[in-house]
Amino acid sequence: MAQRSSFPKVLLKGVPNTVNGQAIADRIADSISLGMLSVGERLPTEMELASQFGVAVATLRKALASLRDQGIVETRRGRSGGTFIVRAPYPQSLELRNMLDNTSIVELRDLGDEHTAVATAIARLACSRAYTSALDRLVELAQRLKDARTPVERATADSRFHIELAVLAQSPRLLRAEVRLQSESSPLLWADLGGVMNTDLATIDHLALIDAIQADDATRAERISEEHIRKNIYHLIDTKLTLGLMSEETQEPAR
Amino acid sequence: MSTVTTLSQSIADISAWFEKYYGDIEAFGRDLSALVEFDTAHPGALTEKSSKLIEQRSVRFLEEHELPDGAGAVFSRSVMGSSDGLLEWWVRDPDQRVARYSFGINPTGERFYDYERLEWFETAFGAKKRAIAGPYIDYLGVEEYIVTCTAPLEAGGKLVGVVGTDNRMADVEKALLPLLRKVPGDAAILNPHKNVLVGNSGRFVSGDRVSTVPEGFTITPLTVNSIELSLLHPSIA
Repeated sequence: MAQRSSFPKVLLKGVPNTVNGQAIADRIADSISLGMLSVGERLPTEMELASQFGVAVATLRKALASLRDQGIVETRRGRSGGTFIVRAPYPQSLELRNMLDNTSIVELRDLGDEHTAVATAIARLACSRAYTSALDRLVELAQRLKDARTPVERATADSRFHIELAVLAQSPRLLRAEVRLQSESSPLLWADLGGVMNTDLATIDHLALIDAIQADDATRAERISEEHIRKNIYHLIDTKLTLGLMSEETQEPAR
Repeated sequence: MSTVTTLSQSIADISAWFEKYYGDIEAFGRDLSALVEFDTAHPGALTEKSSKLIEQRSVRFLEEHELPDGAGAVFSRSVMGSSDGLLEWWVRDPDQRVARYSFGINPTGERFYDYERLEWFETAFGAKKRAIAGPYIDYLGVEEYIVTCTAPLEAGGKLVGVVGTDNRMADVEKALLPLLRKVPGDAAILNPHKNVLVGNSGRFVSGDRVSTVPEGFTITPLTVNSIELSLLHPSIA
């Protein structure tokens, strides 16, 4: 896992001198939901963090304990141990709206470009490496998206499917990239911001992908992945433009 | 030595390596069998004393074996009559000390480690025989690219779970490559699914499935008790 030796400077700005653990926990949580820190990253050690925030180690420990209680970070033992970001706090609807508003169309396209590169490679490798028994599990996960009712449930089910697929491709690097891309894109994708993504259509894509992998048809699996992401990005751009149009209309002075 | 004798010697050496490793895991398991004592007041837990003794024995196994990254015992939820899982699992720390590894054992949790459905548990517990699982990325588990080696674990005369080790692919490669290099030509050890475990060249890389035997190659089974491992090697004319 990637390890940060220091925090992005912007996170340390404006932290008052006398802060409690909760203020630091909130600061770290915000920076994750804004995408400045990604899921999968390892936090610096307690000592390093404490000195960067200018607080006592005990205060910092309280902050980490609070993040652990919220299921945002997890402390693992072992040779590759440390405190890891495991879940992005789900952003509020307003935050998501602002995020989409502040992301240009070309940036959304670029998010899609990177995701296409990663997802097609995963699809191709899964064809030559996945065990048949593991694919049954994938079918179950695909089903879970169909049954998901809230935006949070949908985002979680969708990203879990893609992460599990990345696990089957057996590349730790690609898995890390997929986890990061999912935490960046899935809350936006499934947010209720006007137009809502159709879970049935996404599930059809997911099942078709499993079918291609089962058939060991790498070309078909790549094509389905690419098309799936193209649809997602199309939806994001469409939502962004619709939101922009709505706010322009409401700002129009009455004549 | 002729190619034929070199090849058969390599097959014998690689088979012996696995046989020895599994024999050690089974001996480890027999020791643990005598130490398992469930806490009758708390289903899904061991008594403090039992847990401590299992820790000591697991730590010793890791001290005596260079290869594994983690070792211990994993129990069946139904045998324990518990909804939560139980993994007495010990892993090496960065400073080579040994620490307990904690997993998501709550089935309703977002990061539940559903180990009873994984191959290393299903085979060793369900089919009651030695199992080799991987290479695979142990997502939600130890989160490493590993191979897991397990055997059935009994206590009080009945099957209670599995005993085993996690082995990082980088370390497995280091352990087996010297044996594999002696095979004349490109060769690879295949797992029961015919995926490459370790290969001796860039032609056969770990993880890839050998769905059709390449021309000029043969697959010969390794002679390891109750595990279907095989060696892919150039055919001998």
